[in-house]
Parts: sequence; C-alpha cells; structure tokens
Amino acid sequence: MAGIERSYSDYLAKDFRLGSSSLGQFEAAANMAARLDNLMADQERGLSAQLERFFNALQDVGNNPTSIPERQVLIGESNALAEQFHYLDGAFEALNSQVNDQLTLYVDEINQHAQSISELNDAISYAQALSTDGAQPNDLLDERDRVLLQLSKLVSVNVIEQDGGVANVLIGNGQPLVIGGVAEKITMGIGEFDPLIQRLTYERANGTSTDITNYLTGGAVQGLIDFRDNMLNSSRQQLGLLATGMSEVINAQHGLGVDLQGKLGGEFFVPFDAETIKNIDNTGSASSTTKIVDISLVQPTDYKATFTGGAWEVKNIKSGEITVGNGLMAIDGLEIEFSGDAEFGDSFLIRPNFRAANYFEVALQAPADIAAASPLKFSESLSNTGTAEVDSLVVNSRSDLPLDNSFTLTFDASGGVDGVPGYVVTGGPGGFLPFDPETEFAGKTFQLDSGFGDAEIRLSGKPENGDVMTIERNTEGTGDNRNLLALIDIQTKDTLLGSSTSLQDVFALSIADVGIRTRQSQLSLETQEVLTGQAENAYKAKSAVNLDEEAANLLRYQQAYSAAAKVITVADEMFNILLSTFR
Amino acid sequence: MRISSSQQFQQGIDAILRQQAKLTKTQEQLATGNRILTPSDDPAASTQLIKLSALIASNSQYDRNFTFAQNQVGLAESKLKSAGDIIQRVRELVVQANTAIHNDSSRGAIAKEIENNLSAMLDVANSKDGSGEYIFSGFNATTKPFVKDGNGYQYKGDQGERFLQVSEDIQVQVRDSGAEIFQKIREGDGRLKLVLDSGMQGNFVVNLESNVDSIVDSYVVAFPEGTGAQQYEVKNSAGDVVASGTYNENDQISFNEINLTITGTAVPGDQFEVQPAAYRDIFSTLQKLVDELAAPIDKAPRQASLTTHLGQSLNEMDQVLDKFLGARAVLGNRLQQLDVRANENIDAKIRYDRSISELKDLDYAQAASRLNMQMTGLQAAQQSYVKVQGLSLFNYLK
Repeated sequence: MAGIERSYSDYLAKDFRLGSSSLGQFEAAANMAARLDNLMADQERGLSAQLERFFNALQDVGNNPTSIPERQVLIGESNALAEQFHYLDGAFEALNSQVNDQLTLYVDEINQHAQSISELNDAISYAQALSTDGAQPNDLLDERDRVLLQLSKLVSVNVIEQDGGVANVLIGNGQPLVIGGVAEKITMGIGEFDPLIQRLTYERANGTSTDITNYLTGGAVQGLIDFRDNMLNSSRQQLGLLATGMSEVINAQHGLGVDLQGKLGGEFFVPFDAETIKNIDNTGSASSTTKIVDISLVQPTDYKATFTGGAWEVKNIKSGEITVGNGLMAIDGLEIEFSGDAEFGDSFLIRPNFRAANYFEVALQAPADIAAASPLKFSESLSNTGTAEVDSLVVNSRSDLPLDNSFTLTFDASGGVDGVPGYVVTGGPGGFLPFDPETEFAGKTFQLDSGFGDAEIRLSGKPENGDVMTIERNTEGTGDNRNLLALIDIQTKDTLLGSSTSLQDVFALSIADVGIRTRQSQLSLETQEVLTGQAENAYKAKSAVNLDEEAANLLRYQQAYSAAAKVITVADEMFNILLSTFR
Repeated sequence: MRISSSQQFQQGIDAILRQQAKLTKTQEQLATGNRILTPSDDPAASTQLIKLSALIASNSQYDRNFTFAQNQVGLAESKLKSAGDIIQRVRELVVQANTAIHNDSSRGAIAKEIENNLSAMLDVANSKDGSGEYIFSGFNATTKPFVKDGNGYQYKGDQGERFLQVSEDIQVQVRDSGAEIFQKIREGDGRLKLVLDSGMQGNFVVNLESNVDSIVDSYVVAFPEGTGAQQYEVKNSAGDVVASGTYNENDQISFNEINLTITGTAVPGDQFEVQPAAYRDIFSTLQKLVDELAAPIDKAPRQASLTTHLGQSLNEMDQVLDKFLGARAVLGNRLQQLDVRANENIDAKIRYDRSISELKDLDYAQAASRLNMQMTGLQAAQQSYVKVQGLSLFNYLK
C-alpha cells in the first residue's frame, strides 16, 4: 500500500471556520437578545402599567386633596414604582451576569482549545519528522481541524500553517494564541470602570497583557460582548433615563408646591446625580465629577473621557460624537468637571443614568408631605367695580417666593409712563404691568420681575380705575390642587430628550428598540445559518464520509476480492486437474 | 454532487427542528390569542400597544374623575337651589312686610322668620361634601367659610377655585369660592343704591330709577333750610350742584341719567345719598333686613324710610336670585360639559380597544390554517427523515 490520501481542502476548511465564527457570534447574540425581548414583553403590564397607576394615584389626590387615604395610596404606588424599577434593573443585571458567566466559560474553553492545539502541533511535527516517506499523521491533522473548528465557534481565528505541519493561531488584531507548541492565555477580569462589566485580557507568558475586549471579531465571545454593549447597556441607559427623568421632573414640580402644613414641597423621589467612574488603570491623579444641570437634554448613553495630553476628549459612546475641552465642560445637559493632574491616556467613564433605576427610591414618607397646593394665591378686592380677574398664577421657581409679604396690583386707567393704562404693582417686585382693558380683556400674561418665584400672572377682564388684586401666601390652602394638576400634566408633557418625548414614551421607545434589535439579530442569525450551512456542505462534501459510497466501495472491493479468490480457485482447480491427469 | 452521511443526517434533523420551532410559535399564538408575543414580533406595534394601554389607563381614571366632578358640581348645584328657595321665601316675606297693615309685633314675627332663613342660608354656605371639605371655602377647604363675629359676617375662605382634569387637555372647574357666590352680590338694584340718613325727619318714600350701567360718583340729595317753597339740591362728591329746584311731591328729579321720584313731605335739613352699588354678602343683606323689620316704628318717618328700604330690599333679593340662577346655570353647563366629555371618553375607550385588538389579536382562521400547514410540514420532515435514513446500501449487504 502506498499510503492513505487525506481528502481535504485548506480553502474549504478556512471558509467553514469563518462561517462558524459568524454563526457562533450571531447565535450567542440572538440567544441573549431573545431573553431581553422576553423580559420586555411583560413590561406592558409591568413598568408601563405601574407608571400609569402612579399618575392615576396623583389624579385621585388631585380630586380630593384634603383626604389622607388618597395620599397614602399615592405613596404606596410610588413605592411600587420604585420596586418595578428595581426589578427591571435587577433583571438587566442578571442578564449581565449571565453574559459574564458565559464569557468565563468560553474563555476557559478557548484556553483549553489553545492548549490542545499546541499539543497537537507538537505531536504532528514529531510524527512528520519520524516519517520517512512523507506520510501525513492524518488522524492528528483531523483532530486539530476539529479543535480549530470548535475554537472558531468561540472566537474568530486566523490560522497560519507553517512548514513541519505546525498551525499558528492568531486572534484579535494579531495576538498569537498558539505559536507552535506554545499556547498563550486569555483571562476574564473586572472591568476598568465597572467591576461587573468584565473585560478580556490577553496575557503572554512573558508577563505582558493587553485588553482585547474590543478587538475580537466574530465568535460567541464577540456575540456576547455585542449584546452587552449594544443592547443590554442601551436598555439600561434608557430605563435609567426614565428613572432620572421621573425623579428630576417630578421633584422640580413638587418643590414648587406646598404641603398640608403649608411648607414648600420637599423631594418626592431621592435625587441622584450622574456617576463618574475613574479608570482603575489611571496613572495620574486627576479627578472628575458630573452634574445633571438640564434633564431635558440628557441622552441615554455613557461618555468616555480620555486625556490626550493637553485636553480631555469626551466621547459619546452611543453616537461616537467627540467633544474636546478642559476644566468645566457642558455636554448634553451635563456639567463635567476635571481637576488635578492627568497622565496621557487616563480616562473616566461618565454615566448619567446607567444605574439610576437601581437607585430610584421614594423620598417622601408622610402623606401630609405631598405638596398638592401652590404657594401663592390671588384674590380680587370685593370693592372692585370692574370685571377684572386673575386667571392663573404659575410659580416657576422656589427662590425668592414672596411668602412673607403680600403685594397688590392696582389698576390705573390713565397711569403708566406714557399714559398707558395698566396695573401698578405695590410691594413685591414693584413695577408697572401695562394692560389695555379695551383690547386685552381676553387675557394677558405677565412675567413678574426677576425673583418672586419667576411667577407668571395671567390677567383678564375689564378693570376699572382703582381695582385691586392681591397676591399672597397660600395659607391653609388644604383644598388647593393646583400643584397636583401641574404634576399630572408631566405624564404627557414632552420633558425629555430635548423636550421631544414624554416619560411614558421614553419607555415605549426602549421597548421598540429591544424589539427591533432582537429582530435584527434573528435575521442576521437566519442569514448566517444559510451561509455557514453552505460552507459546511462544501467542506463536508469534500472531507466527510458517505456510507453508501463506502458500502459501494466495500462491494466493489468485495467483488474484486471474490474475483481474485475465484482466480485462485480456478488456478487451483486447473492445477488439480493437471496434477490428477498425471496420477 | 457528493453528500456526506453526516450532512444528510444533520440536515434532516435541522429541518425537523425548524418546523418544530415554527409550530411551537403558532401554537403559542393560538393559545394566547395574541399575534405579538414579544416586542421583536412587531416592534412598531409593541410601542403603539404600550401607548394605547397607557391611554386606556388614563381613560379609566378620567371616568373616575367624571363621577367625582359630577358629584361635586351636582352637590354645589343642589345647595344653590336650596339657597335660591330660601331667598324666594324671604322675598315673599319682604312683599308681605311691605304693606301698611303690620304692627310692630307682626313685623317682628316676619323678622324672626327671615332670621331663621338667614341661619338656613348660613348652613347652606357652610356645607361640606362627603369627605368633610367645605365646598364654598375656596382652597381653605378645612376652614369653615362663613362665621359671625362682632363685626358681622366674615368670610374665612379664600377665592381659590378647584379644577379637575377630565381629559388630557381639558380641566373642569368643580369648586367655586364662597366669595364668588355669597359675597360678590351688588347692593341696591345692582348699579346704585339709596342710603337714608337715620336722623331724617321728613315722611317720604324714595323711588330710584336709572338706565346707566353703573355710576362712579356718589350724590347727596338735600332739602336745604330756607324760606318759601321747599327747595332740593343734588351735589356730587366734589360738592358741585348737579341739579336743584323746587320740590314737588311725585315730581321726577333727574341728574346724570338718574331719576328719583319722592312721595311725601320733606323736612328742611333732611338728606339722603345715591351711591354706586358695592358688593355686600348675602348674610349682611339679610341681617340688615332683619334689623330693619325688628326695630319698632316709633314715629311716622320710620314707616316711610322702611318702605323705601323694603323697596330696595326687593331689588336686592332679585339681585341675589339672579346671582344664584346665574351660578346654577354655570354649574348646569359644567354638568353638561362633563356629560359630553364622559361620552367622548367612552367613545375613545372603544376606539382604543379596537386599535389594540387590531394590533394584537390573532387572526384565528389564518393561524389555524398555518398550524395545519406547519403540522403537515413537520410530519413530512419526520417521515422523510425516517425513510431516507432507512436507505442504506448496508441494508442489502446480508
């Protein structure tokens, strides 16, 4: 026998490995995406419904502001809302730890495969060196191919065959995983910013290590990282934006009211600010803090700030937009401040809302602390002879509210600087509000001079000379629900994302986002299944066994054997006949 | 083309698994009746579903608010109806008192009855709703709005008006302040009033008529002392004489579109005033009437000034009735508006439900036939797998 020829094509094997990497990647991503998708499917009855219940409870208090039971229900619904936020954040965190667990498992497998390949490399070069007739150690080669295929399902590899039958394996952007008989290692470790967002480090035997989390292409590992960075983190940021938005917007309006005791409203939800996390690898002593200054501009994303020598480069991780600056930087409603001495490459992660759902808590405890009323009220003097009315009085700020001293608006039919009719403001901000009863009786809104709660007053009707309106502190206004009506309004008001989206819509958007991305990952997976299937077919058509073919061959060889045996029988018979002739 | 046995095996299994996955999905859809099981089934529809269920939840809250608002407005309306009935009765009593047949005691009895009506009116104004809030106290809902102290009747509430949200952008007022209903009522005939000097000696009745909407100035009508025929003069607040002449009974005295007719004899030194009508609360008005009727008539001029007063009181009762009727009309309007909104709300609910059903509900006929097809597909895949796997040359090598 001359030897066994190995039925194998290098090109087809490589193609199949590439296809397997992509398939592994999409499979891992689609698999996790489906879990997130399932989680969000319940939220129509979960968080979304709880948001509704919270706002409905607000309305019930508005219907009956003096009643304690309704206020108690509101506090209960607020706590339930906090729990719903915690539950979802916990579910996201659980998905994150599933990603970590799987990554750990895969990294172990990768290291084992690398070890096997290095050992097989040794065995193959040894066998080839021993072989005198250039025969190949086919079973070892097949085994190495099998392991390479397994490995490429986890991470995309670049295989370079060397003389002597050795296969070198490169991963990431050129990091050698196996060189001849030596295997390097990948380790999982805590993230540079968030210990729970783990990173992959490539560690060489010589002690150097590189973070390769973002350099891997293809394979299940990449699929998991893709899912984490693009889907899971995005959902957490969106949920976080909703939580931050709720607490910021509700707190702001609640603070503009007064509670049953006549005190200005306290915090409804516990406020929290953006997190700024220092990279554990930073060598400089720089520090950084971030404040949310305008919630309506805050985006559901994280930012990475990197020191580039002279300045800080702040990158919006979702959009990739980069802002360069120093000291105090204002980006997307945030104020980011850097101080201290930074070294080149030092970095911070800025998270305006990533963990907000986790930190979401109700601050308000006593039912009487719900600020249903508005701090100021107005009245018309009963000696007024005209029909003038104050339509509304809206307070926009807590600062400098004229709580201790009331002030009056007195109509002067001929007064004013240029003989224009209007109201003389006595006390408070002072000044003159021009108002022409003949043309402006339908209503005119005035912004009071700075301070004084930035109050807006809307006046209408036809005042007579000397008519007086008084604006004063709302004492004992237990039946006032004006501030609650303003709180209820928040539900549908476009308060977030550049004042384009309401609280409810932010959540709907995040659900749509998950739906779309899950669908995409499923479509990618289906497409890749077909492509990889074709590569597999091509590979197996060349290299794998067909039983019928083998059976046919077996028959052929059997028949050949029978024929050969027949020849012997015939020869034997001939000899027998011949020999018997001479007997 | 060469096909390896492992491929053949794998492909057969893959086909079966794919069919099973599809079948499971359809089966789950049939079991739940939902076309959309997770957001990825239809991301756009999922978003709309979230919004629609939010709308439905708000919708049911508005239903509660309607009931609440209807109760509140209805309560105020029925209280104002009682208030109107009281004033109607008082008006009858005034008419009754305004006849000459009464003596001090019969007038006293009428005064007593009006006083009872006054306290009934106070009860109405101090009404509470089911949750114990005073309904005519403005924002000071836990403060009793009207109380009497040494200085007369005081309003302890404020001028706050409560609104309720009845749809995303419509608020309906459900509370009026007591000031608006019970205090902002003009004296006299609503434009001007007569103020008689209590020390008047003359025995005359004044009748006031005017076509002006309102007056700003006040006037003093005086009968100066002098010789000859009795003169009269009318001065405005600046002291300028706006009309004067010889006084004749039943002659019309006119100035600035105000017409006075005086019946009876005037005594020099007598004077009375015509003033713009200011706001006076209903309780003070009734109290004044009670005081007026309860005081004994000790001399003739009192009878005449009582007649003048009662005439003015009739006007004032009409003012009050107009006020209450007007307020009830506004309340009725609100109730009607609430009805309209409530119906719109029901329509909206039906619309939302229909939209949800269109987005979410499964087309059963289509799903059932799909299920059948998929079952057939799975069966075919299974049977063909078994058949094909049974095919092997080795079967013939025996």
